[in-house]
Amino acid sequence: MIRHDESVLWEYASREMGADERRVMDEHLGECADCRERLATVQVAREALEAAREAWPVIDWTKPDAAVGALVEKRLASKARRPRLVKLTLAGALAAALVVGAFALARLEPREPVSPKGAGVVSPEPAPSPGARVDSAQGLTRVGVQTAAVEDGAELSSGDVLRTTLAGRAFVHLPDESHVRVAGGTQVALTRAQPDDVALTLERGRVAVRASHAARRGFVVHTGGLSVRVVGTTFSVSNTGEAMEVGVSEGKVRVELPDGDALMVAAGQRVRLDSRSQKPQRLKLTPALERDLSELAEAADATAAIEKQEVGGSVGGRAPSAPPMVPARGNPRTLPRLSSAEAARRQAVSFSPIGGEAQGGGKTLLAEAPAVTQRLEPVTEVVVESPGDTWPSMAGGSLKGVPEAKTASAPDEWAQPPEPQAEEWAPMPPARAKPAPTEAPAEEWAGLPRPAPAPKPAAAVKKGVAPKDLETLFLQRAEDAIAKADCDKYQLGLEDIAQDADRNARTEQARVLRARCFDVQLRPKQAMNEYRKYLGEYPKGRFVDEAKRALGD
Amino acid sequence: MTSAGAIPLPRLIPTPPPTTQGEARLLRLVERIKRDDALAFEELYRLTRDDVARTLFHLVGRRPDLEDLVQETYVKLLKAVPAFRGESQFRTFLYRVCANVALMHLRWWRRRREEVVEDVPDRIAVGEDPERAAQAAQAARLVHQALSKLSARKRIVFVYYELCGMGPEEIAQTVGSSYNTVRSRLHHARLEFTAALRALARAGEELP
Repeated sequence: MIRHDESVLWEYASREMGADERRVMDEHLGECADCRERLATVQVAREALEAAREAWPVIDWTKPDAAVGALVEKRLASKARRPRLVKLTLAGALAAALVVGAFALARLEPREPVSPKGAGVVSPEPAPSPGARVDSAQGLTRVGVQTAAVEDGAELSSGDVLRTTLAGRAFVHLPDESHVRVAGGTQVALTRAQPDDVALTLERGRVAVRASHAARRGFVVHTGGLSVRVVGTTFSVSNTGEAMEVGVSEGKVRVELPDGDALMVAAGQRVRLDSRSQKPQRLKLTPALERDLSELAEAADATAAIEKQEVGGSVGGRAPSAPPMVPARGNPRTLPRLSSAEAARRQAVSFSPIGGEAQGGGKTLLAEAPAVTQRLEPVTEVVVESPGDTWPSMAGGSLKGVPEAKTASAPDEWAQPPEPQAEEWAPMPPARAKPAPTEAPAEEWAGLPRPAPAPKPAAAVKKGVAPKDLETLFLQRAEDAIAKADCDKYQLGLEDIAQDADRNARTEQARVLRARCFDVQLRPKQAMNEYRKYLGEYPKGRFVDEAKRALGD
Repeated sequence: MTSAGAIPLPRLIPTPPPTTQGEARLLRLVERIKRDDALAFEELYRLTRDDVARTLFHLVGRRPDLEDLVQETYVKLLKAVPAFRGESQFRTFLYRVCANVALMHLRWWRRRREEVVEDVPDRIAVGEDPERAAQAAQAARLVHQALSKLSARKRIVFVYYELCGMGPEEIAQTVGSSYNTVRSRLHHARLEFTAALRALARAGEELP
């Protein structure tokens, strides 16, 4: 009987009763102290449940991402080899496959499943797989449960997700001797990074890939539902949110559309896929894009030439431990940049064997390139552009040769203003979305007192630094929190400090920390806005270079 | 004896049409997956993984191998999607896979007499408001401790109803039971949950 009463109390507390029943219950509760006590217990239980709904587990997505990526790749690999028009020749093809299969089985004892096409391509005895490696990094972090900065020479593996700050750059060496140049404000996952199989998933930003001609099952770049498979050519992929485009300057590529169809795009062509209509449209390659791609290929050839020189004919063609990054002749955001000191150091180490004069980094390198390029195998270049809406800095004609002209005269496809991306990406309904970080208007917070620093272990404070005051301590903690990508609660305090009328080193630092915090939170618009404010407030400040790099100036 | 039929829980409209944009998008992706479009599966994964992780978190509690369960859920989902006929919401179908994975592991752990491990580090996301986040984390710990006293089937029904906001009709589809069975399990789960909380409170008071 008691149990029954308690279930009624749950209904009462959960408002599952009708009005009449509720009225009767109210009357009964007024008279029964025992029921009131038990109702209190039920209400405590319900409050605990209500609060528990707000809890979200922290997940290290690296492993599930890699597993699902591998699953997808496996399916893609098997599907891509499947011919579509087989009705007429089905019987013959089946018979032939059986004969070939029986022959292969008789001769081979494969240790692992071999893809149909890969049978003749993939080495039956793979060499010990060298992992991916970061050759050079600036503002690069590995995203996961423990987001951590990535240094030069760091080893990478399948499933790693890399993120660069807006002002960051990175040059990654893949196990198949391909190279990836990660631009600022980019997040890219190494879905598969194996000597015979490479798949990248670009979530935002831009990467430039120089795919080697090593024997492998495939090299694919996924972005925004589009899948671009390297056939051996030079091409670009862009995604403005409204449309995706693939342009080819050499050779041809296979483009798999979201509806499952596939297109071959030949040299001089581009295919435009409208995001709404999902209808592909064949167009001519624009001269600007053609010029960009040829510049990119030239720079990539130069890089390859330098690497070959550096390796000095090493057996197996293993890349040098720190291949040089080629300073781009075009837009500086297209290719990675080196600091002058770093460039000088690398030239002294790497370029001297060629015999060129180390004077301008890029000029020297490019001047040397043609002579060496003759001896090189052709390389494949993939340039993937992110949706402009996510990272507005990327939308402004990244491949333009002249930096000043990139926003004014870039072709439409590179310069379209972004549309906000969809609510469609929100998780499914019942799960409550995490509260979006809110940024209060500046004036609303101007009058508030300095915020108390958020609770933080004492160990987090840098040793050896004696905080002068609360603001200094706060800035230190904010900086530590930014390094861990958990800085949201510091934003309001930073804004408060940054708005101080008496501008000093702390207000300057606060402004930059706000920008960096937005950057690690993947809120590029806000980050760039902060960098713009910084340049306006401190045109000769300590972080001007960082701000300009982030803004692509 | 308690009559489970006495609980006047609101009935949902059976198999409601996909009204939300998100559900319609998921159904489009499912159609593409059925046509062997593996990329659609990756997109589906990106769209639903947070929800799946959160659901499994409540279904099995704080576990060090939650990532493995998420991974297993999607491996099973890929195999199961061809059987999805669109007669229910995709969310219901997805939760069914989650429930199966959770049920298997809850039973396995129970056979091995593994309780929710107390030394698992706090793996609860900290939101914007640290105080609120701490409260949520504390409440989740308490709720999961109480839930560990429930049988696996009752726990699944209780979590889906009280924490995931599903109705009994939808839960019945999810767990493959009848409506009345779900109501009965929910009824008993509520009583056991309250008793477990009460016991936890008493244990807390007895501590020095």
